[in-house]
Amino acid sequence: MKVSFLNDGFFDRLETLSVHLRTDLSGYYGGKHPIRRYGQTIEFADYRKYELGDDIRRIDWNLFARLKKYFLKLYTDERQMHVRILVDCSASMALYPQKAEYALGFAAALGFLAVRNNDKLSIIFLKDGTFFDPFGLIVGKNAFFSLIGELEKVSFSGAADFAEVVPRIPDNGTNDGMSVLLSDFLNENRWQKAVDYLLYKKRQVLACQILSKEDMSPSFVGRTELVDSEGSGAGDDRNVNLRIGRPTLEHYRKELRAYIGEISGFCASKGAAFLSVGTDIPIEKAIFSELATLGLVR
Amino acid sequence: MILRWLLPLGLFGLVSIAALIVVYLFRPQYRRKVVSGTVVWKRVLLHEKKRRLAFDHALLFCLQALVFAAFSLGLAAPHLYSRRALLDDAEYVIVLDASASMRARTVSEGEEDGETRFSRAVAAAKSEISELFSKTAEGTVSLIVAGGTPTYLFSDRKKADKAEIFSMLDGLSCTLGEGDAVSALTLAGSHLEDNPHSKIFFYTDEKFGSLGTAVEVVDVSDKTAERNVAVLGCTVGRRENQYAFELVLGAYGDVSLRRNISMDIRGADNGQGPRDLHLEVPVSFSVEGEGTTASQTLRVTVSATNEEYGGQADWFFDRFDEVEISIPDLNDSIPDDDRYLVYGGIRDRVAAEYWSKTPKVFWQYGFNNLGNNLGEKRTVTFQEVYHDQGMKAESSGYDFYIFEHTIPSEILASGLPRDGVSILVDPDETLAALTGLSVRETVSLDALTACEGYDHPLLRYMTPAKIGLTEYKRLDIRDELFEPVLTIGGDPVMLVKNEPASKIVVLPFSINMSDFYGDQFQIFLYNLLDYFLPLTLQKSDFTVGESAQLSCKGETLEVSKDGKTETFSEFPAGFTFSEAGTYAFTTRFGLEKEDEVRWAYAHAPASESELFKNGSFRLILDNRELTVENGMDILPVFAIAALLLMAVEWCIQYKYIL
Repeated sequence: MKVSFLNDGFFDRLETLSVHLRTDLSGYYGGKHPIRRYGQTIEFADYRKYELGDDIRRIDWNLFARLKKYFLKLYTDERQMHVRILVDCSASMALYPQKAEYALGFAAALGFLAVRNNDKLSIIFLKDGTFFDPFGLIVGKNAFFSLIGELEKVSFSGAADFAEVVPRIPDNGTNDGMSVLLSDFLNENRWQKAVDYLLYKKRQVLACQILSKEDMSPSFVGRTELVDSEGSGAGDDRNVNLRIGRPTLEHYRKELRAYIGEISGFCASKGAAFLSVGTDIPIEKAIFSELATLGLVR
Repeated sequence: MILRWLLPLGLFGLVSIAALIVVYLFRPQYRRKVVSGTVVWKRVLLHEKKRRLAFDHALLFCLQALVFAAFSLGLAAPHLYSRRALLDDAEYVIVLDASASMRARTVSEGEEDGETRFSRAVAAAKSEISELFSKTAEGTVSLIVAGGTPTYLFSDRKKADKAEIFSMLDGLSCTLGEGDAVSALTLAGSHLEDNPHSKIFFYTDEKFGSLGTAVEVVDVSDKTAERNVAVLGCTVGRRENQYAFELVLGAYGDVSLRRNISMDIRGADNGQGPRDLHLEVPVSFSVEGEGTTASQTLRVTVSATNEEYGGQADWFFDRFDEVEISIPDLNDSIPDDDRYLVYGGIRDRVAAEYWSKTPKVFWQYGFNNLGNNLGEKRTVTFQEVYHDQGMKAESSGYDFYIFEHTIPSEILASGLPRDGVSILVDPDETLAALTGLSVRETVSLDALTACEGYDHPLLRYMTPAKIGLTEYKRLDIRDELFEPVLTIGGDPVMLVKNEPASKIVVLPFSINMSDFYGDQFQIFLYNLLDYFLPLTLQKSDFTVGESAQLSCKGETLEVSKDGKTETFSEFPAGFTFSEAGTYAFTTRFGLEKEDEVRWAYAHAPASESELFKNGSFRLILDNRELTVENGMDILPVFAIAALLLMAVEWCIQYKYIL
């Protein structure tokens, strides 16, 4: 699959952004993300009283001159985070090519923002009831750009069972960064359990729903057997026989809005971020506007 | 057994099986469409199912209910009866009110003989009949005269009889009595049974509410030109032995009455011979305006002491033959009720003779009591024969002859009286000489023994058990015309013979030896009067159409009016006063007595003088629709309906099955 977004122009525009993560994460030494702990950076954070055993080099002598008391100067700490992007590569994402393209583009954009911040990056693909991690740990732009071309070779098939697969990923990390779930969430793939699991691992979670135009506003009418793209074809329990008319389509759109509202409500109740984007929205807009609104990039 | 198809076309229903096969062959095909996921679609399906299920369930229930209803109605073998169109041969039934008030004529100055309501009704009926015959030659007309008894003047006549019908109508006149409109209309209503579209025209002068769709009430009165003054009645009474008349006058419409009313008393008798008296009774009252009514009561006491009406000795009388009351020179709508006749001024005379070897006061007291109680209608006289003073018993001139203990010798010589009833009390052996009875022995009883009675008019209202005897005479009865009335131990103690020329009552016991005297004795005397001398009529004024019971003191009674005579011999007899006027009742006796004549007056009912009355009955006669007997069997229609309903129901179910 040729992903149209993966070009130099696309990544140049992303140079101006950085991922903004929570400050209560621990991460790894050497990154650029400020955290709540005091560290060895040059940015002043606070004072505290001198105590026996403290490094006397950190005493603020100017303050001692005025107050005749010993105070230590404290500085902020910055850490390296690990951003893991879980891409739904099931058949439903490939049913409409622009949806898969959009998902890979979105993953690449977020990945770029991560490596640009000196964060570690993992892009994991979920399909056929398991996961694939073809790139391993990606650190630095060079490594990212050397592998980015491989994204075009990713195939989509089968079903992606989030609840089953995500806990089985060997290095999910704990309190060390953000996990991004990219899916259309239109299948019974138990994504809620995956979100619960990642939150349990104290990771910042972003659930990103990508819907094609056909998903949001189907146009077919008449007696229709609706075949689930991740099912076994005709006769699958997930299939639905429906006589579709204009009112039914209108009702579908209403139910879809309600369903998205439920996902959003679930994520909000758990402390996860949620973003639903359509493929008709330019990916730049989704990154610059929607993610910025959520406070995830700035 | 043979199977037959009464309606072979019904077998075409088998085509439905082919239709079923087609439905199964061409079941609806679903186009397959792959979608990303069905999570949202399932939610849509769930909602659609809920919505459709609610609707389908209601629809299914209705359809199933209709299927059951169609089957149930089909089981009841439905037939459809078509309604018959309005008949072309229209039938008219005309009811003419022939009550006396229909005689009312219009009154105008200088005109003596205006048009009556009845003549207007006849003219309107003629017009209606002519219109019917002009519309259709097949139309029929019947006419009912609503007199005292409704009668057909003609029935089911057609156009060909028009001249005869009109001739009959021209000869028709109304009665002087009340009309029985209810019966007449009910009779007319019977035509609706044969032809429910019959039209009934009711020509009357009374106001009615709706009498139903079949009846058209035509008011033929002309109240603006009608007024009436009437003598509605006159009652006669005796106050302190003087005659008192009470006149009731009525005025209807625009009337002003200031004049004297004439009272002519004919045959007034105070014992010095009959003579005629004339009174002028002034009256003054008025009513104004259409529909207004008034009545006035005048009391006239005629006596020697009343200076206004009488005032001299000649004016005392205790009997009269006739009183005529009239309002002279009156021009009103109903002239007939301006005159009124009163009879009843002659009281029946009852005379009794009593002869006894040992007189007692029982009989005298008894008859005096009768006289006191019946004084208004009868004059009772009682004569005791004092034989010890040389008086002889009379054998004529009395109504009752009472001989006690023995029959006087002069009677034995002349025989029992032939003009009255002989009452033989406690007779001795002389009884055998004049009757077919003889005394066998005297029976003494140990104690007061109660009598037993037969069902006989002489014992009416009496209780035989209350009559006790201690002694009586046992009789030998040779004359079988004597019938026992009262017995004791099988022996008659009261016998009666009531033959035209021989009327005898025998009491074979001494009243002293009984407890007969008392209330039972008084009732017995009343019964004697009613049995042997009943009043011919109980009153002397009647309304036209009124019925009376006639009794007779003698053997026959002749009723005469205007030269026509009707003779009665069985009593009590019923008699109807069919015409207005004076009726003479002549009693002819089998006994040697003179004929007795009494009079009665029949007049129009007072209510008929009322010009503005309203109908007081309610009767509904409606035209109704006809149905024909041979209806159409619509069972197949119900079967088809049930089949179609089941098909629709199945189609709806089919959505869920397939």
